[in-house]
Amino acid sequence: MNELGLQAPKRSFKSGEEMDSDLSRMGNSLVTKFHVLMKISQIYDSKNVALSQFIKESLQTINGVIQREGSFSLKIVKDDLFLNDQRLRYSVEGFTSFKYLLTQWKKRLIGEVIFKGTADERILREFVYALMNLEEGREENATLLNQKLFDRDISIIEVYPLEVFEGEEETVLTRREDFREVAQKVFFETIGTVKEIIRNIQGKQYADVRRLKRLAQKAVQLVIEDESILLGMASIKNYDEYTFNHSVNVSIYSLTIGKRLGFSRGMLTELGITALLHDIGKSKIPREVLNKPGSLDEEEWGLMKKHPLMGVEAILNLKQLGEINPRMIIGVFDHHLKSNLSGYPKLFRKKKVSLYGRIIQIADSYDAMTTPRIYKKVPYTPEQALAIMMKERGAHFDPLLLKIFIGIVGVYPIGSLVLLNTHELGIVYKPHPDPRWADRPKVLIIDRNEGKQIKKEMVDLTEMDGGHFKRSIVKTLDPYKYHIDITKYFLI
Amino acid sequence: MKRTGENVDIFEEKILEDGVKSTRALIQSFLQTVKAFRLYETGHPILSKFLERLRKDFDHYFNEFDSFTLQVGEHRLFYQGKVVYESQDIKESLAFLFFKDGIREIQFSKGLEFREILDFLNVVRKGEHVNRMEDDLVTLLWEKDFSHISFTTVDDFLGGSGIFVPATWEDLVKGSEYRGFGDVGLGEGVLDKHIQQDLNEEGEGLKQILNPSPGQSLAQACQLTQDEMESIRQEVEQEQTPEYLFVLINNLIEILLHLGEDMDAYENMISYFERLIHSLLEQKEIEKVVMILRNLNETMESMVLKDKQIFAIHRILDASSSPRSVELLGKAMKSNKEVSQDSILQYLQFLKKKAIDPLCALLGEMESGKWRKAICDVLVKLSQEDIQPLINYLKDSNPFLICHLLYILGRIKHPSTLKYLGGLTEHKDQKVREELLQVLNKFGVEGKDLIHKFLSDPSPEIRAKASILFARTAKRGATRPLMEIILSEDFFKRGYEEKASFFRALAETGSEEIIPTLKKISKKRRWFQREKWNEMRLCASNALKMIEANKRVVKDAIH
Repeated sequence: MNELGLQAPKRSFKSGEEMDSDLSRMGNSLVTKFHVLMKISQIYDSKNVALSQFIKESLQTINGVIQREGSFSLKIVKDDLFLNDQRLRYSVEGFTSFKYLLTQWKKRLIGEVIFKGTADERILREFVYALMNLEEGREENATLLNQKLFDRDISIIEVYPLEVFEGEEETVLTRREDFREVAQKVFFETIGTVKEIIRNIQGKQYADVRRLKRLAQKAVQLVIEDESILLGMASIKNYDEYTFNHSVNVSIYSLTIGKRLGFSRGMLTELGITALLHDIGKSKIPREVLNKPGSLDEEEWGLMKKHPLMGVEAILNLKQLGEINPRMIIGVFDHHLKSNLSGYPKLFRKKKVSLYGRIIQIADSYDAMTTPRIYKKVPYTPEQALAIMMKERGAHFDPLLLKIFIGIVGVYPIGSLVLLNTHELGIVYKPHPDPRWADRPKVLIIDRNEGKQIKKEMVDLTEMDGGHFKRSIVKTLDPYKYHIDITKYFLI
Repeated sequence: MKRTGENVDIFEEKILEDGVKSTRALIQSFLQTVKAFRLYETGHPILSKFLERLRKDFDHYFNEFDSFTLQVGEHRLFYQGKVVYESQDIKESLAFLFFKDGIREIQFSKGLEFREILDFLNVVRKGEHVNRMEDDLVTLLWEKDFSHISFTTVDDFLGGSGIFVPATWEDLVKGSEYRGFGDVGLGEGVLDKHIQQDLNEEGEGLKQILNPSPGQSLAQACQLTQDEMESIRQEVEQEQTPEYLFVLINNLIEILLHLGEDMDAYENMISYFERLIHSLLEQKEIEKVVMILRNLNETMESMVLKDKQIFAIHRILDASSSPRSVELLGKAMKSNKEVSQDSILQYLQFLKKKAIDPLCALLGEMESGKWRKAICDVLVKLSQEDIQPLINYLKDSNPFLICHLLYILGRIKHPSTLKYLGGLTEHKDQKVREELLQVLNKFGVEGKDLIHKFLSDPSPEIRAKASILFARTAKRGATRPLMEIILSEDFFKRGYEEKASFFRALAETGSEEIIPTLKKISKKRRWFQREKWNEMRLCASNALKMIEANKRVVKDAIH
């Protein structure tokens, strides 16, 4: 036992890029097993036989790591998890588990768990239940948990409190409000910056790309920490001009998909910038064509189809972007190519649409479909848009990425106006982080009073009451029909 | 006697003092390394010493402390509130460098790897000269995604940029291009009527499209299966592999085939490929470069392209022949690293005429016989129509190179070659003259005048060889010059081999007029230096026998 002194052993950390792939895989599996155990402990009591199978499976993984490494430490450092001092990068399937483990441990102020030897069923069961029974936010939790383990004669597990890094403490307190404010500023600043860049390109002037990079990096940071705020901002449409606002929304959606795919910060930034510039080619198309209320004639349509290539040319000439980034160019080129390689531009020899291209295409289509335009005054509702896209999956959209996207925005996407079984009207405000609850988001109940709607109450649709969900969504409604402007609920 | 509390204060002060002292020393070491970075090229031994010392200093520091956080002021760096660095010179100041880009705090943690220190130093160095429209220290640091270095910034763009950020919904509405409707609200009665209508309508939503199986929720129907997860995981992983470069290249070539008339776009694409080729050559990834070049070549051969596209592909292919590329190829040839030899040979096949100069330079310094031969083969191929670039190197100070060039010229046999070779007949290096003689022989009768010059070469071996070659190329025209030398006063004193060659050469001319002279020599006796003269007599009689034998052969042939 560590004498309950709770001084975590000092270790050095290795970056995820250098971690050996076996350990990385084992680490991901370990996190998933902990996730499942922690989750199940909330459903069954510790004596339940159903638990046994899960415990056995988890023991295989845990003891596998111990056999390989001798012991292991799973530790939270800021928003990362380190296994034996090496940063774990989560895989696609691991995202939910990482998020869950980080959240649950942080809530209980537990920062590190060390397994010093192989565990058995009893030890693991006792540990998981003791951990999950800790009171949230209690500073002495690590001491209490160690004491409990000691009392139960468990000496192979040690826990240490969450380390709050310098400057982090105050951030935690004001975090959400700050986040929202920063997100809002980043959102509108980025719209303004995209506009400036496009205007500079049109005027053949030098564009300030540094600003765009810093905004994209900031957006990546926001998405990594809490994507729901920026996703909410993406409900804002047509601010300033369509193209600028649309580009920012596409970037937000793309970043969230990239995050789920386990992209590094570098790749996310690259993807974010690519998405911000995906329609840069439209800067060379006359506004009369872009905003034409009626349908485009053949010549206009021909011009419109050239915008991905014009975008490539614009990016190639945007020397401030530094070294040409192939993924960026290819992403812009590909964003109107369908999965079956139809769409535009017509290809000569290419056989597959790039990953960035497919991500941006989903984000682009979804935002375009849900935005009112002069030629389509009433857009599709978010759910209708997803339904149409789902119908087109395979031929048009990458079906797997589309599923991931639905997992992010939810079956009832952020910004959807919904009717609940309680006859309340609400706006989907935040998707549930676990895709299994994609149909049970957080909803902002709005007043049905005559006149302008105002915020009322935030409800979590996973809330139970006597074995039943308190509220469920009955149907999504068209906010345009109800004269409800969703966007105002996403501003501070 | 001091109270315990005071003792604790003194103890803590001492710890702080030690921390400040160590941090200050570490920053000094860091600064000196930054300066060394400015002065010396990567890999320079002095720079390596500084880096090694810095690495040790960091290790030493982290043996004592777990981390340290520097607060950044305009001209000063602080550690735990104490100044650990100060400089008012904004051109030199490390504090100002960080401060001006909005960095306000930097934290280094235990576990910091040497690679991270190097990356950090590189960012600092790059940050001093960065184009501010393109990058700053923050963007550069971000791209490195350090594990043990973190930083906090104030973001200048979040205020003061002049971009309007709407604070209210009204502002938002005012700033929007198009909203589609007004937010007026509906009366309760109207609202309920709409709801009732909507409930009665059976629209095609996600549920209808996905049609979840019984017991399956809509959310479950949207989830990825294990196989799907694995497939997307593999795709993402594949994107990170070095081999993925080929996919990117194929894509870029596709895009190149779509580019229109914007010449700048072509130029930028060309420049990208040039840098890529250099970068791969630097890493000795010759195989990858060959694949790129082959791909471009095949594209050009198999498709009808626009002039600008052809121009661009040619320029990219030319990049593989630039002096820098050939220099890097040379390094790969000389390298002990495992480089595919076949790839190098294939790469050589893609070289263009502009590679001749750098290849000549490389040939001069190449030690491996295999690679010398390969380079010579390429130079022969590239210089078939124009030997002028090779000729320029005949004046090189390296006789070894000149020999190889003569060998190449001999293989090319360009008609204009001989006019450039005259100057080399008196080259001070014997090997050059020997090689030249070989080459001249390949030109047959055309080369006879230059071969003639070798009859008076300082080297007896060369003279001997030249005599034979001269007779064979000049035929009867060689009789008089050879006779003149043989009959010269001191000729009989020369070595037997040389004399034998000259007489044999004379016999090979087939001239009848030499017979009397030969007979005279064979019969004449001399007492002074008798042995040498006897060699003359023997050579003369051998020559006569050769002539007789040749005559018999001719007669037999006639009959």
